[in-house]
Amino acid sequence: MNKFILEIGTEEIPSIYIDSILKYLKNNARNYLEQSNIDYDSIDTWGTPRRLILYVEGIASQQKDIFQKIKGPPIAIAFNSKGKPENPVIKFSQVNRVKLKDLIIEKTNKGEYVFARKLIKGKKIELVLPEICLNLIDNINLPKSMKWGDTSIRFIRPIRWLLTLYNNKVIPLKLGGLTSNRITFGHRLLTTGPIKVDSAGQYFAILKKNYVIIDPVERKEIIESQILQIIKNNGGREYIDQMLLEDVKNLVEYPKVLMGKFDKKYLDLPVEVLTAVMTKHQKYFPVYSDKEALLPLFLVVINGNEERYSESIVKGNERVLRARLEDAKFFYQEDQKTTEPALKFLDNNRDKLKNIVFQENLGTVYDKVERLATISDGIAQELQLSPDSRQILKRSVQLCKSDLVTEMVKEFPELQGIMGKEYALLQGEDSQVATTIYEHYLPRYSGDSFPTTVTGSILSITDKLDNIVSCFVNDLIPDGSQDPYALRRQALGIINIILLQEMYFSISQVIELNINILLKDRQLAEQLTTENKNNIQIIKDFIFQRLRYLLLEKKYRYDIIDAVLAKNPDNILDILTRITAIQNIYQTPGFIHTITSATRAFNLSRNAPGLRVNISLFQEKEEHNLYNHYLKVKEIIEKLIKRHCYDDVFLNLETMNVPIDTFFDKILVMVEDEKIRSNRLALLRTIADLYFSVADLTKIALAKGTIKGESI
Amino acid sequence: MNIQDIIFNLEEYWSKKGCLILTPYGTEVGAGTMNPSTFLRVLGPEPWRAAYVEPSRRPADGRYGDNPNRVQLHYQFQVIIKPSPDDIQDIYLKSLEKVGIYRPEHDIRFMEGDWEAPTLGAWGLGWEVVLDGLEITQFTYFQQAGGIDLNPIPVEITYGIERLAMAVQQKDNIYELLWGDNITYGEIQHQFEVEQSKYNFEAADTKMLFSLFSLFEKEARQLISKNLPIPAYDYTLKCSHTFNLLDARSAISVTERTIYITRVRELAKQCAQLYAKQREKMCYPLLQGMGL
Repeated sequence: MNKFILEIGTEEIPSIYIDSILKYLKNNARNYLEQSNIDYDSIDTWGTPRRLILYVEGIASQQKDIFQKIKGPPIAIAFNSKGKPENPVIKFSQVNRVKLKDLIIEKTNKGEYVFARKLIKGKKIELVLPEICLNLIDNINLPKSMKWGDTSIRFIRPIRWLLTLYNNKVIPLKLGGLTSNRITFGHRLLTTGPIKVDSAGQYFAILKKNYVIIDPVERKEIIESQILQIIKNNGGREYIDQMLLEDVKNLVEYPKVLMGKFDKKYLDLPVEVLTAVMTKHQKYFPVYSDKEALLPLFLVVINGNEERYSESIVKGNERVLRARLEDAKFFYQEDQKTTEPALKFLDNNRDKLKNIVFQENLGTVYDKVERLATISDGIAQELQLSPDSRQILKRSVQLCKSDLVTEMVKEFPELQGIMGKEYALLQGEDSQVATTIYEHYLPRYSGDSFPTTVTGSILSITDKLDNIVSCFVNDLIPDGSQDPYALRRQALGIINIILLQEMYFSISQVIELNINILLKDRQLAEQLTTENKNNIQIIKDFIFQRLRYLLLEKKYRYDIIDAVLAKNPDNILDILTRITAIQNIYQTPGFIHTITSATRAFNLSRNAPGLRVNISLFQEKEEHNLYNHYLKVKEIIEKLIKRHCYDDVFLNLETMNVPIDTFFDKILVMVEDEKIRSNRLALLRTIADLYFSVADLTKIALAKGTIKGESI
Repeated sequence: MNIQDIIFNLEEYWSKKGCLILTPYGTEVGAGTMNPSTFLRVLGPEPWRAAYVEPSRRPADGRYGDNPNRVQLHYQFQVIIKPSPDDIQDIYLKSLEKVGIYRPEHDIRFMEGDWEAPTLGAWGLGWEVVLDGLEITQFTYFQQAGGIDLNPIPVEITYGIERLAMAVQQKDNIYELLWGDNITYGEIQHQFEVEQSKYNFEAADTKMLFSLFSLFEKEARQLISKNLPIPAYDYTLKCSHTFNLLDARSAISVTERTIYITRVRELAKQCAQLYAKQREKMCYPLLQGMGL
C-alpha cells in the first residue's frame, strides 16, 4: 500500500497552538487531495513541539482522469438555420482541440450553450505532491507568524527540516532555503545528529526508537497514568487539572512525570495561591489530599531524561518552587499591612484604586466602585432586598476591587476575587461579604460557576453591565469576531444570572442610571445626551441579541422569541416567562384560534391608528358585546401581566375569540358611513392591541393549512 | 564554577563562534538589548555578531538586598547574531556545556516567551529557556526594532548570569553565589542593592528627575534634528532610565505612564530611522561580512 509522510521539522512550537495547527493541517490536506482528484484511504496528523506530521495511507499513485467542461458560444450564434456550425463554434473547437462532433449542448440558466468535454489525464502523484505540500505549509492558519534568518517565508517558528517520503522516494520540495530529504531528528536532548529514513513505513518505528512519541493523545495518556500512579502511591485525591494536561502534553516529546516536595509551612497559604504558583509559573501539577487541601508535593512533567538524573532534576525544580513560594508568602504578608492604622488593609487599599485607570476618559477603578455602589443598591431596592442583605451588599461593593492593588493579584491576575475573599475573611469581614466579593467576578469563563448568593449575583450583574456600558460609551463595541473585552460573554453572564436567580427588573433603567453616573463627572454629559438615548437602546439590543442566541440554543422557537422581543420588552426574566407561556400552548387549538382572530383584527385595522372607540356610535349588540368583553378581559390581563402570569393571560385572551368571531360574522366593518366604519376599525385596533400586549402574534409562524386571517 | 569563569567561558565560546566580544554601554540601560550594539546594529542588511555582558538596571525590582531572587541591577550576557544561523538552538545548547550543563542530565525546555520592549518599539518571538524549572535565558528572533521591520532577522540570546550561576552553583540565594572563588556576589553587590533601593524608592528627587526627563528629551530631539542618531540615542536611553526611576518612585500615574512610554518610543523610533538612513548613505560598510 502506498504511504506518504510529510514531516515539518521546527524549533519549539508553542504548546497551546499545536492541537489546532494539526487539525488545520488535516482538514487542508483532505481538501487539497480531493481538489486534486487524488484518492486515499486515510489521513492522519500528529505532532510534537518540534515536528508536524502528515501521514496519508493508501494514496493513489496518480490523479484520477477527469473530464473538464469548457463553456463555448450560445447556441443561437453557434449554428445557422440549417443546423450547420458557424464561425464562433468552429474556432471554439479548434482552440480547445475538440472535434466538432464531440461538442455537446447543455442548458444553463442563460439559455443553451455549446460545451466542449475535455479529458484531463491524471498526473503521477510524485509530480503533484510538491505543490500540495507547499500549499499546505503556506496555508496553515497560524495565530502568530514570524520570519527568521534571511529567508522570506513565515511560519509559527523557524522550519529546520522537511522530510517528504512517498514510499521510499523523496518528494522534492524547496522552501526558504531548505530542500526536502529523508532525514529526520530524534529527541533533542537524548539523541544526537540526523537520522536517515529509508521508507515511509519505517518512519514511525525510527521515531519511537529515538524517544519521540508523535501522538499528542498518547503523550497525554502516558502523563495521566503516571500522575495517577504517583497520586495513588502518596494517598492523594485522584484529580488532574485537564487544562494544564492539554498544555503540558505538547511541551515534551517523551514525557516522564517526577515528584518533588516542598516545605509544609507553605501550606498555610491559600490553596488557590499555591496552585497558581505551581500551575501558572511552573506548569507543575499540585496534589490534593481532599477537596480543600493540598499535599506538600508537586509533579513536574519532564522531557524523558534517564532515571539516574531524576534526583538532580527534581532538586533543581524544588529550588525554583521554594523561591516562588517564598515570594508568594512575602506578598501574602505584605498585602495584610496597612499604612493607616485606623483602616483595615482592604479599606486602606481603596484609595490606591484612584491610581488605576479603569478606561480612558472614564476615570479610575475607584470611580467605578463608587458607581457600582449606587447602581447595585438601586437593583437591590428594586428587588426588595432585606436591610441586612443591602448592608452586606454595600460593604462588599466597598471592598470588591481592593485586592487589585495587592502584590498577590499583581503577580497572579487570575486570583482577583479569590484574594479579595481570602483577605476579607482575614480582616474579619462577614463571610457573606467575602463570598459576595468572590462571586462578583463569576462566571469568569464559559462553563464557570455562577454566583450562589443574591448579593453576589447583584454585584456581578452590576459589574459586568458597567463594563459593557463603559465600552459602548467609549465606542469599543464588539464587531464580528472582535470582542477583546469579552463583552458578549459578560452579557451572557448577566442574562444567566438573572434567569438563575429569577430576578425581575428593568434592564434599561439600570443602563440609563449607569450611563448617567458614568458621564456626570466627565463633562461629556451634554454633548452625549442625545447619543445616550440611542446608547440605552443599543446596549439593550446588544444584550438581547445574546438572550436570543441563548434561548435559541435552549431550543425555544425563533418565531416565538421574535414575537416577544418585537414588543421591545425590558425585563429579561419576564421575556423568558412570556416565551415559555407561548411555547407551552403553541400548538393548542385555542391558541391557534387566538392567533387567527388577532391577526384578522389587526390586518383589517392596521391602517387605522390613533382612533378612539366611541360607544355611542355602536349600532349592533355584537359591537357592545365585544367591547364589554374587551373591557373585562383588559382589566384582568393588566393585573396578570403585573404578576407575570402569562399562562393565564393567554387563557383570558382565548375568551375573546368567540365574541370577535361573532362580530366578524354579523358585522360588516367597511360600511359606507365613514364615522361608523372608523369606529369599527378603532374597535378592532383596540382589540388587536390587547391581543398583542404580550407578543406580536403576527410573527408566529403557524403550521401550513391554518388560516392566517384575511388582509385588505 | 564561579561567575567570572562563567563569563570567561561564554565569551570564549561565542568568540569562537565568530562573535565580537564587546563591552557594556557607558550609560544606564534596562537590558542588553538597549546597548547600541544590539538596538542599532540589528537594523538594516549588514551582518552582525557580538556578545557582551550588560549590567541591567530595573529600579522597581530593588528589594533592599532582602530578597534572595530579585535585584535592581542584574547582569545579562547578551549575544546578538544577524542573520540568525540555522543551527542556533544547537549552538546555544552547546554553550551551556561550557558552564557545565550537559543536555542529557537536565530537563531543558524552550517555553513560549514572546518579547516586547514598548519603549523601543521592538518585539520578537521566541522562548524562555528553562533549565530544571528555572528560566536561564531569553531567546528571541527579533521581528521589529524602532518600529522598523527587520530583514534579515537577528537572533538575540540573553542569559541571566545570576540565574545561570544559581543553577550551576546550586544556590538558593543570589547573594551566596560565588563571583570569584573566595568572594560572594553578596560581598560585592549587597551594599549597592541596599543603597540603590533606598535611592530608587525613597531618596530620588522626583522633581529633579521630571525636569531631567524633559531636558534629556529636548536634547535628543535637537540632536535628531541635526541628523545625529547616535548621540540622540544616548539621550533616549537617559530618558528611559529616568522614566524607570520615576516609575519606581510611583511618581507617574497610570495614564501618564503610557504617555511617557510613547514619548520615549517616539525618540527611539526616530533614532532608528535616522541610523538606518545613515548606514544606507554609507553604503552599508559591513555588508561584506565582518572580517571575522
